[in-house]
Amino acid sequence: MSTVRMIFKELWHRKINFLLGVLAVTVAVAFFVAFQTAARASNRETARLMLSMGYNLHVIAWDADVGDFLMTGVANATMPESHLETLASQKNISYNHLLAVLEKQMIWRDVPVLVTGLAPEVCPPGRKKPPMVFQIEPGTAYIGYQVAVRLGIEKGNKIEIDGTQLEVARCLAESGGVDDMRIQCHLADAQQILACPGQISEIQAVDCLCFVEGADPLEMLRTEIGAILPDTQVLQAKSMADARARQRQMVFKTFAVMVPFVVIACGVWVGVLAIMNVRERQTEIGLLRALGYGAAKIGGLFLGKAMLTGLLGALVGFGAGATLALVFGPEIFRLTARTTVRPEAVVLLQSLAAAPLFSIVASFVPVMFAVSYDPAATLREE
Amino acid sequence: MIVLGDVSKTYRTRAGQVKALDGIGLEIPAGEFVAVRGPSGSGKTTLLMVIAGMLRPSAGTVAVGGQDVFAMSQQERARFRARNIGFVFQMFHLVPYLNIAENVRLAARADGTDHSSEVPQLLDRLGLAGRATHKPAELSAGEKQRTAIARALLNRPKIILADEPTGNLDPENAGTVMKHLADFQQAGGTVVVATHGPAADDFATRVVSLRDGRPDEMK
Ligand SMILES: Nc1ncnc2c1ncn2[C@@H]1O[C@H](COP(=O)(O)OP(=O)(O)OP(=O)(O)O)[C@@H](O)[C@H]1O
Ligand SMILES: [Mg+2]
Repeated sequence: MSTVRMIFKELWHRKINFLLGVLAVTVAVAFFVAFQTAARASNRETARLMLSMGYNLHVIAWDADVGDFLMTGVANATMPESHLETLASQKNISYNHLLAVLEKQMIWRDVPVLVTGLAPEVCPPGRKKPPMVFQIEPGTAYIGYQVAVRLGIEKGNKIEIDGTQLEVARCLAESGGVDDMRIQCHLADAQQILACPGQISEIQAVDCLCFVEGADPLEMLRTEIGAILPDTQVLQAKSMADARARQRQMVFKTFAVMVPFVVIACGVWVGVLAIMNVRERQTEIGLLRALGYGAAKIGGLFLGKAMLTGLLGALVGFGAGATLALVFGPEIFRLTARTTVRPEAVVLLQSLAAAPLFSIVASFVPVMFAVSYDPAATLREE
Repeated sequence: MIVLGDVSKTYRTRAGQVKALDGIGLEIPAGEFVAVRGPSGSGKTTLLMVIAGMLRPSAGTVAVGGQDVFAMSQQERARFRARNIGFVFQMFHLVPYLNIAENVRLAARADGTDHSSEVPQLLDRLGLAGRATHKPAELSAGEKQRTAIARALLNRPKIILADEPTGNLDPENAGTVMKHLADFQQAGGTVVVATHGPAADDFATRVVSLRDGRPDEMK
């Protein structure tokens, strides 16, 4: 009779033992799956929020007044444009999306405006990402909503600011923020308008420290950038998103500690069931040996059963875990409605691969005892 | 033919050594029905296990059909046993999750030469025809033991070793079981039965009495 048939007949005969084993694997898998599923959703949410926060890192000149910068959003001193290249050419850094900005308030045609010159965004080597802002061609300008309305500027108009000619490429929609008072142009044009050749007032960047363990990210950034550009100051805008990411990270860590414990406990559980099963089947093992069956066949009966236990546990556990994640995930990981928790195919595959292996490993020692039983001893009449 | 040459078996336990077989020399020609008798603890089971090659003696040699059983590798010995020796136990040792036909067929595969097509006739001969698809738990003790005998017979062994095969049976069933073993012997097989009592005496061509691991007297 084939090993597989014997396994199935034995499963059916000792349903309780089998179901308890499946339950153990189910619990372990469910825990793992719930955690993974929710954690993946949480990561998606963090990535989304971080991006929507925009440039949260500001590098300004050493002699710029921080208080002034914080109040006005504009640095009152400049630094060389070459700083951008210096930052961008570094490897292994914790920021990305570098943007050189030269910005200054001025009165133009009796209206206070903020002239903002932007160089095309650069990324450090090997970290190319699509730019987060529009690119402005030299010789063109994007006019903020309030400025355009007050001065009656329209797309296609030619304007002149302090002797520099610009064509209006776009008039921007109302933002309700400082952007409405901006005239945005290429960095080179702004340098000409503001008479600051080769100078910038700020480098904006996005930090990538959302998931760094332990260390204070700002401290890290300051050390990192301070070593490269000693004549600058680094400011990081903290936000709700940041705080939430941190909160989630705490939950994440708690679970990351709990999952191995649950898995180990379930492993022990599976192992104990295997011991019970082997003990109950001692005379069967002895009989098979007496009939001339080898260790491979006998080991196969038990390990095959362990594998089936793992497979079934993985399927049921995935269902249970994904359901748990769907129901409780958003609460525990504080996800907003815009991030959906969904069953992850990768996690299912991981479970299907890992659970049978896990079950086999947990049963391995008792099974090795089983195959080495002395048939003479087990068949001895009591 | 089974030849034991000065076989001793000493069990080592924490409480000390137990001499279960003490220099037994024994020749059992093919075609005999030997009853091994003796009180509890006299070494009957140990003797059968040694003949079967499942228990290595502390000293002495065991030859079955002219082959030194313990000179073989473990694998060879397992194959040799599957091909030549059938077993019947006091506790039947049927696999509880397989039905009767499957239990009998279990012996087939280990051997390699597949006699499983003969299972129905075998069950029929042992009066188990209507029981093929029943589980062991649904059978009487006598039926269980007859199943075990069918399993032992399936590979057409040369020898059947039976350890207290009637120990759990009433006299009528015990008689039936002994009769089947005798049929096997009549057909040319060799039978060695270990018993406490006289159950096998009517069928035996020879009785070996054991006392403290030594042959006591012979008939
Ligand atoms: N595994 C073992 N370890 C230690 N001593 C053993 C072991 N098996 C048997 N013995 C001892 O060896 C002696 C012979 O045992 P054995 O089982 O062969 O006797 P038996 O004649 O079959 O007895 P019974 O009629 O009760 O079945 C006994 O004294 C027994 O206690
Ligand atoms: Mg005995």
